[in-house]
Amino acid sequence: MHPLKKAARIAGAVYLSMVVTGPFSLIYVPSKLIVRGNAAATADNILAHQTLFNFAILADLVGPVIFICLAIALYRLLSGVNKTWAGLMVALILVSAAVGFFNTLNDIAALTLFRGADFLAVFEKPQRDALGYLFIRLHSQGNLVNEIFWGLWLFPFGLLVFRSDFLPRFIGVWLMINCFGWLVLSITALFFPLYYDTAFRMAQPVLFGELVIMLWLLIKGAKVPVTQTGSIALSSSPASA
Amino acid sequence: MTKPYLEMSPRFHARMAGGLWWLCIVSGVVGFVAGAPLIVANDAAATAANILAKESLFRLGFAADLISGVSYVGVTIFIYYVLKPVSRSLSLLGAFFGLAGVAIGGASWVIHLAPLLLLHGDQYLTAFTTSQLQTISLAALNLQLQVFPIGMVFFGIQCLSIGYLVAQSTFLPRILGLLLAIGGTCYVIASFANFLTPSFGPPLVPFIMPVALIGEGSLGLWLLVKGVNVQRWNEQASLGR
Repeated sequence: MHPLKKAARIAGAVYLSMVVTGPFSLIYVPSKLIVRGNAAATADNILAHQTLFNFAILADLVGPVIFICLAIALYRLLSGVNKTWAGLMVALILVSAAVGFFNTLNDIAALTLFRGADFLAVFEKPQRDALGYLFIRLHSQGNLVNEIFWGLWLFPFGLLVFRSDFLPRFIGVWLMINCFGWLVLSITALFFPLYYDTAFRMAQPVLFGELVIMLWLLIKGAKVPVTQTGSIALSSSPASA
Repeated sequence: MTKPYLEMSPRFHARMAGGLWWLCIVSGVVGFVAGAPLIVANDAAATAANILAKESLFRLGFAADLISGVSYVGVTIFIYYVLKPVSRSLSLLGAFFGLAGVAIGGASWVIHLAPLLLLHGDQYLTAFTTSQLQTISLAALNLQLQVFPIGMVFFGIQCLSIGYLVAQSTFLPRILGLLLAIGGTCYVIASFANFLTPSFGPPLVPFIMPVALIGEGSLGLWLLVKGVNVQRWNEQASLGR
């Protein structure tokens, strides 16, 4: 296989694994276990389904690792187009991964409080539940903060796709719009929380940009140029950061 | 096919680094000016009353902090490319310290939101008295303020390496490198003073911050207005290969 095509397929496969694990801890588990505004019910749910909750924590920890792998895979694919933007893309992903990792601590704190070890006996159960629920909420606030980075990295990514001669330009544009989609969502959530659900529904078509590039990389790979420029661009990339 | 896009030029990198650096400084100062007066040391009730009365100011402070961190990711990447001809490895080392600093800042963003979750009188928090919630909220804010000097250690080391590289470069004035290195050293000293001797550290800050700001501000301004001497940059770049 042409090295460019191979790099694209690898990036697509890594991307797929992220798209599969992401919604599990982000959407599925919270929707199953968290009862909005009810600390006691949430605590009961999580204690009754501890394995599920632990898997969500695990997915939250694995997610950033995959994200970093994706950064490297995409850097290999796209650094030949423009090193600066590729570097910026990687940097934004690294910070996002760090925020995501730290944020997992909130879920672990919630679990510790709900379980209530001996040293927590000075608090009554309703107090432990309330504190635990506070950490659950902090965790989701942390994700809302991280949405800014989930958006920002897409701008250099989209720009690189747009300028590459081996990926379709319209996906590049879509990704750049996708960037602003996340930014608007994050700002709405942090400053106008009441409108978040509406904004999320309206942003859906924009957010599909990532799914499209993932599928494209996986299925179509990259269009190999007639001349050998593509492979030159690729072989020059691993040498420098 | 590599196209001669504008942003490949070192002058563009320099201007971007300088512009984002100033955005980072200004938003950092705005964040401090908006947020700091709301906190009344050792008075949880007054602090809570301030935050609730001026909630938009509190949120503005949070947003400014976030913008400061995000723009610094850009500074880190663009300055890496500007200084790569002097020493690639040292420039990369500085960039990683910068990203680590921003990632640590990411932890403080999440904690920053805790008071808003605690003080709005949500139903699930009735297990605690109002004064208990106010105390937890102030504790969260104090914790958040401790994150800043931790990040500063990393930013300080980054500034030190950037300063050294600027002084070694032929395309930027040496004095700017010296100023930045002094500023970076001040960051590190102030942070450790803060941790090791809490009574001695904070009074040091009013003397140290201006020194650091002069270093960062002057280099940022130079990069923004004058950029780099492109001819000398190219000479040094070709020497290094």
